Amino acid sequence: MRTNLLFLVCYFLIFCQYSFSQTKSISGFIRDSSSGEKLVNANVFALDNRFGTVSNNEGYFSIALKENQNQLTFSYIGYKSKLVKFNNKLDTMVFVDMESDLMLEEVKVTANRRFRNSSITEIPLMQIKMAPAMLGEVDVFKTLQMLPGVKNTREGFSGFVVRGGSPDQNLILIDDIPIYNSSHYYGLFSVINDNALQSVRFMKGAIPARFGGRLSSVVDITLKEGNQKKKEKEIEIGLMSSSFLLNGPLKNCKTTYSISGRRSILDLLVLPYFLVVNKPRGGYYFGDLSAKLIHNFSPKDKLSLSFFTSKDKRFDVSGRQEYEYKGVRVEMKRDQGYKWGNYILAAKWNRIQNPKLAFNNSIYLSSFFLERHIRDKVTEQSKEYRNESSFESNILDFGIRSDWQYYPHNSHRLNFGIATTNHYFKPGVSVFYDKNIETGETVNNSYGDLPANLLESVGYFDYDLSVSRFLSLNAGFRLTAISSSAINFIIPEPRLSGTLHLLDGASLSAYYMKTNQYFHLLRSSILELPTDLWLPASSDFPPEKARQFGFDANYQTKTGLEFSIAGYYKNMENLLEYREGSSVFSTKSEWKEVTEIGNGTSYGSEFFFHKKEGRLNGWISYTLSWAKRHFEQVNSGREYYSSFDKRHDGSIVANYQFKKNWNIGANWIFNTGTPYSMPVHDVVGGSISIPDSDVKGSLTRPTLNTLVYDQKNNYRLPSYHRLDLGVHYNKPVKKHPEREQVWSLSIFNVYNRHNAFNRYFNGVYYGEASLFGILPSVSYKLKF
Amino acid sequence: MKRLMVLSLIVCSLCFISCDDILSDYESKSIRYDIGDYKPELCVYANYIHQKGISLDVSSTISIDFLQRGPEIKSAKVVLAKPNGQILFDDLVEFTITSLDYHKSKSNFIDINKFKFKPNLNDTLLLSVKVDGYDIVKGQTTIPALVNATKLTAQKYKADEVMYRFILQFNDPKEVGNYYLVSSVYYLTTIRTRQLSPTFIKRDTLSSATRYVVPNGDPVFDFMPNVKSSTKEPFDISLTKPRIFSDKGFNGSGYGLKIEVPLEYISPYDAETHIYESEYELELYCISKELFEGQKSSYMHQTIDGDIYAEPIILYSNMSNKVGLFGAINGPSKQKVIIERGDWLRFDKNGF
Repeated sequence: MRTNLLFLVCYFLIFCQYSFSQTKSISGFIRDSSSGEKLVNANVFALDNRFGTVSNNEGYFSIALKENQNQLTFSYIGYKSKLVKFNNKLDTMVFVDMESDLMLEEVKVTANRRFRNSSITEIPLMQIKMAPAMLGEVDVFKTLQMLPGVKNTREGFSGFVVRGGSPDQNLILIDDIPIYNSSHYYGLFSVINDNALQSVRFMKGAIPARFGGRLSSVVDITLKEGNQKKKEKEIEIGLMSSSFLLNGPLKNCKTTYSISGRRSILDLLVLPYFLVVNKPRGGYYFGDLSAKLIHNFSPKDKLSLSFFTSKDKRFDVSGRQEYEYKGVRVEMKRDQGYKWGNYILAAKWNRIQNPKLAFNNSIYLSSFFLERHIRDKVTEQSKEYRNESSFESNILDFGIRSDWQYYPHNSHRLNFGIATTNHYFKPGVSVFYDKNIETGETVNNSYGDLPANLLESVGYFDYDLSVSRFLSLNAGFRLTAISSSAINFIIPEPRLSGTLHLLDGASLSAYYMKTNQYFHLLRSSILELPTDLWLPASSDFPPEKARQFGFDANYQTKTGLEFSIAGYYKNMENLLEYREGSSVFSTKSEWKEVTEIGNGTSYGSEFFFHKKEGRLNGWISYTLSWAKRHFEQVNSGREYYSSFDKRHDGSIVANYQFKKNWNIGANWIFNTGTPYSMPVHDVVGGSISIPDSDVKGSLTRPTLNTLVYDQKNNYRLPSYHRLDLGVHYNKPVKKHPEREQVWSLSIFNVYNRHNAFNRYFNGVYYGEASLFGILPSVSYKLKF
Repeated sequence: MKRLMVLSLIVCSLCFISCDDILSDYESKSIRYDIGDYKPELCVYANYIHQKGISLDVSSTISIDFLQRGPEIKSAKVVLAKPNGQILFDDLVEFTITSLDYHKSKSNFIDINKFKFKPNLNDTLLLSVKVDGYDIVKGQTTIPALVNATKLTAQKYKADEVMYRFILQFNDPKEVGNYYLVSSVYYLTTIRTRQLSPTFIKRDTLSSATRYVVPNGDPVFDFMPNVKSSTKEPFDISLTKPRIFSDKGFNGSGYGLKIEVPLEYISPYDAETHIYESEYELELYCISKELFEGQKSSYMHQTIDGDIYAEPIILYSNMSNKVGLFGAINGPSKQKVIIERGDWLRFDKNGF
């Protein structure tokens, strides 16, 4: 056995060495011709022998050609394909500028379809921007929710679950840096400003080993680096928020910048009213800001600094209230509110060491904060008294990572790297401060866990290998070491996928992967409020684990149509849920007292039809799935359907450019209602007593008229469906043809269906709540 | 252009108003909800008390719209047996009925002397209850071993502290099950009468009443805060309840269970004129797993009463129709301690 293995390795090395010696390397960057922005995941392929590759997150590619090969074709969605010829027999570095295809005519041939990783779904930016936007807020996550296998957490919210997981199991990366809170306005809108988007990639199965730390999916978002050729400005005014984008080159075009920001405007609009009438003032605002500064020291060296922040704040400051207390005039003022958000600060150095080797080194800080508070201030004549209570939860990540790509051969690509991150958790601290009005005594108490550090160190590799024209493999391995004062784990994560290319454009893929998650999110199944509590793994609550395997049958036509059928089975361990009876506003001192640990299973099949380009583009998706949970201490230890279980889930997404400057978009969404819990019995008696006890003890019994649930999530809400429409008019500016202005009208829930948000029984009657009826909105964007 | 701008502004205003309204609150309405044909279930709460008998409480569930309820319960055919088929009790149990509350629970106690055979420790018991108009209901439990509480002490950390620490020594029967702890206090108040003589007149001001005292902390947490199982129990000091705790943290050895009980404030006048004596007693029972789980979920159910943000609770049931409970209890093992310092233990205002 060992001899055979040795022989195989030797053969492999000799084969590679022989192969490499016969080639020349063509490498370079693929960019937008008008702005110089990199194009991520653009296709590169040689026509004559049908092999190829795709550009990486930096727009970089490297491909080895045989000496007699001299041309490459480049293609990218929304751009004209480009054929480039090479006469040089030596290694060559090129910059390929691709021209945007604004006419959006039917596409001839998009790419060599074989070399694209089928587990990675690229979301065309046009699809995101042209989709009808709820309240005018274009939302990348709401577009993701319409993909197969992805479901929203609640109507209208940007939280999403993937293949039976939970919302915290999605790794959301902004320029390779993870963020923890991805939504504004209690989850209604994503924190990603669409004006700053450069590319969006989504992975839910066969996730490359480069990505880890979450169980279910990866959303890889790249923000714009800035136009290398001219300065650009964009402003957008909507009903909910206004935003801006500034980007362009600095000196010698070696340095570019990009700054984008957004802020809600509702609170500003109502502010004058409150100031005039002097009523208790409250409000809510959210905002985000991203900034990037890129400097190209040479074509091979690039340094980027980036900053991102998002914040939501709700505040309620009451006016002064006066009353009498024991004959003395007393004034009272209350200030209460929430705030939460993220900060990211990162520096990254990209270098092309040689045509076959490139690396990125980065260092970053990423933080999440959440705070709730109530502050009462009482003034009695000249004395002041205070009563405060607050709740805080924070995470601060400090990380360093080094990612390398090695392109030894056309049919080989090796990604490898190391990373280390220190996660600092402050998982929910309640502080109570009280100063007694009569005695002047103060009480100052803090409850909650002590801050904890969790060190995560990772090494990984994944190897893309085309064994033959008909078979390609990706083998990856990720090894993570977790250490803190309480735990030490070393966790291996093997990943393996293979694709069988049957016919031109048809393929069959299968994969197995293991993923782990080193922190948990405690999340109420009842509320969608910022009560999320991130917790580090511990000996009591070890890291979450998932094993997933699945298959994918895919067919792509030469006209850009894609059909796919996928099936998956996922098993998850060490999931966390709030214990039965626990309340998110409980005053329990430790989160451990309100949590349970258990397992989950999900499986299903997904169908996807995607028309990527052309005047009419969009997709139809359908998912048939099951998502179950099993917790020993929940539902009497019986298995139950997860709150995110939706048996049937489908969507139709369409964009149609019916005139040169007019575009219409429509989404129709359907899904089975989500499970919820409803009591089935009213027990009017029942007690257990201990006669003859000296202390007349009586064991506790259900109180009279106890509402009894037979099991958790025993009912389902009615089925959900909704139609959204959007119209975009790109109005030319006659005197300034270089300017663009876009009017957008969106109508959310066109037929005003009051979909059930939840159902309840309050002891007297059944109630049903719905969130959104028809919701029109208008926005205006000016680019100059 | 101007028209377009004006039109846009009007649309924007309307949208803004609608959005503000929509986002400020969601629509909630009462709905007609057809619960369909409801099948009332027999709800049996039964508890085997070792060497004493079975307390039995039988009622009918009703639909949550109160419209559908089961037939009146007048008697129940009760069978208690062992898994090997040995019948311990098999008889018809009658209940007293009042006309107005026929749907409410009916209680009875079946004395051990009525049993054909008496069960032993660690025996598994099978209970079946049949009432006319309902399906037969079955449950199963195991009689736990007897715990032996050996000593109870009481002391203050410091003389001026307003807290007492009680330590109950007990021997844990290995693999026994779980525990149920009842605490009580019995007061004697002595009124100081200086004028008469050095001899005080003693008077029992509470007429022999016993009261539940309120532990400041949960005994298991205080006793072994780092043991994994201690975090599993839903203790809440704000609740009026006896204490139950799991056997998971014990391994058959001797233990000391720490309970902190706060003291009531005594006015200077009372301190000058009264002397208090209190007798603090602890009863420790072993309870079956079923009873433990049932009590645990019942406590939690009370805890969240009225809290709309709380996760729903599935009341534990080991009965065949998933309503009710059959448990077993063994004990008590009692220990007393007298506090003569004149301190007044804080008792539960709602206790008795």
